[in-house]
Amino acid sequence: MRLSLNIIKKYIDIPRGITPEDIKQSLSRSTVEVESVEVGESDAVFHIDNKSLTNRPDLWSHYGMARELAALYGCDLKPFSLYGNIGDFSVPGDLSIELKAGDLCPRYIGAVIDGITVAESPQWLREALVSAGIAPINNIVDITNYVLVEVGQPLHAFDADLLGKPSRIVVRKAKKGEVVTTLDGVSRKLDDNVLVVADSVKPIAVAGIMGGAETGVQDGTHAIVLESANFSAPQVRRASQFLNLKTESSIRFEKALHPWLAEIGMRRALQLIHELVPGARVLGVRDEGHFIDKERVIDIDHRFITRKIGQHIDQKRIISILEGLGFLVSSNQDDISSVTVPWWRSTGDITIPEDLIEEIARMYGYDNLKPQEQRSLLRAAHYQIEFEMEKRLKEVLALGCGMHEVLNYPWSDAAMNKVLGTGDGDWAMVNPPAPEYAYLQTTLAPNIMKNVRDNVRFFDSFALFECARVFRQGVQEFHGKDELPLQPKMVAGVAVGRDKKVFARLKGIIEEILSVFRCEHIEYLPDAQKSFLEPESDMRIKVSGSEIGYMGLVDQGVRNTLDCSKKQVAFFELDYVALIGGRTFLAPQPFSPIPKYPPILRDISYFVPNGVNADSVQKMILGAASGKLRRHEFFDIYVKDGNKSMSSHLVFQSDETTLTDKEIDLEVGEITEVLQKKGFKIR
Amino acid sequence: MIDLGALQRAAQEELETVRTNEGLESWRIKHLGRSAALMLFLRELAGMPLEQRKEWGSKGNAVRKELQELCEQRVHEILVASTTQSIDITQPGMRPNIGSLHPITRVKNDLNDAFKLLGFEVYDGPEISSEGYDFDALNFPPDHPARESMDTYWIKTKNSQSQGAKKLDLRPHLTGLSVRYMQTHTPPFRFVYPGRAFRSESTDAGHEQTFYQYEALVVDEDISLSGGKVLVYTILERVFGKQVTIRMRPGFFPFVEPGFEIDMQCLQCGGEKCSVCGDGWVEMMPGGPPHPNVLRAGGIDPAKWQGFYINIGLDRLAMMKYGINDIRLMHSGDLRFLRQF
Repeated sequence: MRLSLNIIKKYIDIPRGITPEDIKQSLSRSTVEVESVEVGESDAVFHIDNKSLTNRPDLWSHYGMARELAALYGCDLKPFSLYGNIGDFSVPGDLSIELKAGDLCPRYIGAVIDGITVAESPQWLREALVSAGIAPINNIVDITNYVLVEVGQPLHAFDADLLGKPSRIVVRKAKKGEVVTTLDGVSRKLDDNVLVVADSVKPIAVAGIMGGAETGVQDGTHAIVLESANFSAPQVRRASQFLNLKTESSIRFEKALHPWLAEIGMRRALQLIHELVPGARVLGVRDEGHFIDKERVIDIDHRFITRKIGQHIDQKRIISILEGLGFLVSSNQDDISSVTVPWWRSTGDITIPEDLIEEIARMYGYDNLKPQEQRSLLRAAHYQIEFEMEKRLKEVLALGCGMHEVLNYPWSDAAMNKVLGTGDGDWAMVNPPAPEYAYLQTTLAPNIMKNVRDNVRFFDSFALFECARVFRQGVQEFHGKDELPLQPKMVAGVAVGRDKKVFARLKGIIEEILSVFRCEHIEYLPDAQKSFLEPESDMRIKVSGSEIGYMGLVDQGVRNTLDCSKKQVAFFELDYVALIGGRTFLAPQPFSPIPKYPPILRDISYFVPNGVNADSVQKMILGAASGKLRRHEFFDIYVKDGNKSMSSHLVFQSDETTLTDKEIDLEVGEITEVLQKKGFKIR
Repeated sequence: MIDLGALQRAAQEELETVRTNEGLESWRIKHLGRSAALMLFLRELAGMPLEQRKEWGSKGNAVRKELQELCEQRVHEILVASTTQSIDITQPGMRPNIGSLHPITRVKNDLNDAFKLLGFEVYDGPEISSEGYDFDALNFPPDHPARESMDTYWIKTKNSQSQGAKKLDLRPHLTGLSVRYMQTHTPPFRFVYPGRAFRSESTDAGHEQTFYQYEALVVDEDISLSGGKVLVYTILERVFGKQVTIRMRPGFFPFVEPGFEIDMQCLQCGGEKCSVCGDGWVEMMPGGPPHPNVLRAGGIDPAKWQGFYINIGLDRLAMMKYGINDIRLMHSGDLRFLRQF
C-alpha cells in the first residue's frame, strides 16, 4: 500500500524535526513494516508491506495511519468533515434496496444524487490519488477512490439512468451461468461462490470487488446511485479467489471492515461531492441491513500485563498508550479492570487480552524491554541418538571420508527418473514447482546423479553425500492425529573416479559408517535389483538380518547420460533409521589392551578356483586357524591368464608368550592344508 | 645363450638414473625380481647339463651378486642424498583430502550447540504434514488471507476435497511441528526443531522453494517477552561470534500474540546502510508468544502456561555469516561452492 504524507498531514500536525525517514522508522518499529519511503518535491510516499497489514483493517487508510502516528507522537488527530446524517434523509429518493444474502451483506447504504456534471477533478485531488497509487479518471470516480484511500471504505457509483426506473438494488448470490462484464472489460462467468449487486434483471457489480462496465459512470452521466456497503470478509475473499480478481476494494473487505465505516464513507463522499461537484443534489439515502453493534470489552489486569511482558510498566503509561489508540480503559488507582475496544479494531483484530499486550508492548517499544533471564527447572537430559548420530555420521562422511555434503530439493526430475529407471514417484503435488518436478523423490539417487553430471565438467574425481527424507507409498507414524505418508530419512553417497577403485573406496566408506554405528552381523549379498547399477557390481547390505541399503557401480548407459562415459561412478543408499536399528543408546567401542608380546607376520599367496570370493576364503582361513591368528587381511588380489591370485597377511600373536617360528610354521601349515584341500594352489 | 654382459650394462646404466626409493624398488623388481631375465635364466639352468650349469651358474650368480651390491649401495646413496638435501620450507605441503559440511548444516550445528547449553531438546517430524497441523491448529481462521501468504505445495490425494488432517501438504513452515510436540509432552518444556520447509514461489537470489528454518519453543509458567529476548541474543551471538545489535518490531503471524520481527544491525556495514541490508538492518527472525488458541490446540491450558517462539531462517543466517550472495547456491550441489566450507 502507498501512503501519501500530504494526505496524512491533513489530519495531524507532525511535530517539528520529524523527517519522512523518522516516520518510516517509527511505523516499522511500532506498527507495520515500511519497505521504503520516496521523498519527492511536493510529497513523500511510504510503501507499506501489505502482508504486515493482514490483521489491521483500520490501517488500510490514511486516516487510520494518521491515528497511529498521532498516538506514536502524542499529537492530536483532527476530524474530517462529513455531510449531514444518514437518518436525516427522510425522503428515500427513487431507490429500493433488497438484501437477499443475510450475513453476507450486513449493511448497504445507497444514495441517489442528480445534477452531476462529470468533469476533471481539482489538482489537489488528482495529486493525492497519484501519490496513493491510483490513476485519476473523473470527479465522481476520483471521489469514491479518494474516500477509499482516506477512510478505507470502498465505494461504487452507478449511473442511475442505466439502472432503470425506479432504481432497484438487489444483493444476492449469483446464479450459475450468470455473466457480468466488470469495469476492467473482462466478461466473468459467475456461480454461487460470488455475491452480486443486481438490478431487477441482471448483476451490475461483483459485490465488494468490482463494478460492472455497463452501469458505470460515464462522461454524460448526470445522476448516480452511490453505494457504500459492508460485505462479509470470507465471502469477498472466496469470490476474489474464485474470479482470480484482487482489487483495492476486495483487499480491504477481506480484512473485515466494520459496518459503521460504510456510513462514514458515505457521509464523507457526499461531503466531497457537495464541495467539488457544483449543482449536485442528494435526492435521498437508503440504509438497509442488520448488524449487531455490541461493544467489545476485554477484562484485563495489571498483573497479567506484567507477567506477559516480563517487566513492570507504569499504570498511567499503559492507560495513555491504550487511550491514544482509541481504547477506553476502566481503572481505579490500584488497577486496571477492563478495556473497551474501539469499533475500528473490533472486527477480529482485538479479541483477547493477549491482543492488548501487543498494543501496550509495541507502543512502549519492544526495544525498550530489557532481556530478563528466566528461572529454570533442571530436568533430566534426554539422550537423542537420532540427532547425535546424524551429526556424527555427517562429520565422518565429510571430514573423515573426504565427501562433500549436498542438499537437494525433495522432488525429482522426471527425465532423470527415466534414465535411472527409478519410477515417477508415489506422491505428487497439486501445484508442482515445474511440470518435470511433479513427484516427490522415492530415492535420493536422481538428484545426486544430477549433482554428478553438473560437477564432472569441473572435477576429475570427487565424492558427495546427502542425508534427507524420501516419500513412499505407505503410512508412517508421527506425533499427531493425522495419517501421514511414509517418509523415511536416507543417507546416500556417490564417488566419481577414473577407474573401478571407486567401488572399493565407497565400500570402505560404508564399512566405516557401519563401524561408527556399531553394526554387527554385516552381509553383502549380490543383486540389488537396481537397473541403474551395473550387474554383478551391485549388492544389498544386511545388518543383523535386515536389509538396510545397497551399493554398486553405475551402469555404462547411465554414465553416458551423466557425461561420465569414461569414468566410474559408485553409489550407495542406506536407510538412516535402520542404521540406528531401534537402539536408544550407542554402546561405546570397548578398548582392547595393548598386547605384551610381539606379533609375527607371515604372508601366503595362492591361486583360487573360479567363482571363489574373498569372503569365503576369509572364512576358510579363519576357520582353519587357532586363536593365535589375530588378524587376516588380503593385500594383493589380481587375475592373470584367467587365474585369480590372492595374497594374505597373517598376523599371529599370543597374550601369554612370544611365539616361535616353529609354532607359526605349524599354524600356517594348517591353513595351507585347508586351502589345498579346497583345490587352491599355494604359490 | 644369454648375453650376461649386455644385461649387466643395461641394468647398471638404468640404475644410474634412479633417484628415489620407489624408483629403486621398480628397478629391483625388473632386474632382480622373480620374473627378471637374469632370474629366469638362473632357474632354467637347473634343467641343463652339469657343465653348463657350472659355467653359466657361476657367471650368472656373479652378475646377480654384483647387481645386488650396487643396489644396496644405491639405497645408501639415496638415504644420504635425502638427508643432506635441504628442505624448501616455502614449497607447498601435501594437503589431506577433507570433504565439507554444507554451510546450512554448519550453522544448524552451531545453533544446536547453543540451545543444548540452554537445556533444549532437539525434535524432528514429518515433511509431508497436513492442513490440520500447519493451519487449523495454528489459529489461521478458515478462509483467512493469511492462509494464502504461505503459498503451500499441496499433495495430491484420492479425495481432492479433503480438509484439515486429511489434506496433505509439504509443510510451508515448521510451526505445525510444535503442536505435535505439545500434544505429546507435558509442560514445562523447551525444544528446537530444525528442518526444511517448502513454498510455492518463484526463486531469485533471495527466495527459494525449499529453505531451512530453525525454530524454538519454550513453554513455562512465566516466560515473557523480556525472557524471549535472552534467547534472541544467545542465538545471534553464538552464530556470529560477537555482540550484535537487534531491534524488535511488530509483525503479524496468526500463531503468535503478540507477533514480532527481529532485525539485526547489518554486520557488513555496521548499520551504515549498504547493498546487503539497504537500511542498516537485516530481518533475522520472527517470534512471539504462542497464541492461546495454539496452546489449546496443543492441549495446554493458556491460563496456566505461556511461551515464546522464535524462528530463524537458516539460509539467511548462513548467507549473512559467510557472505553468500545467492540463496540458490544452497541447492546447486556445486562443488565449487560446497568445498569452500
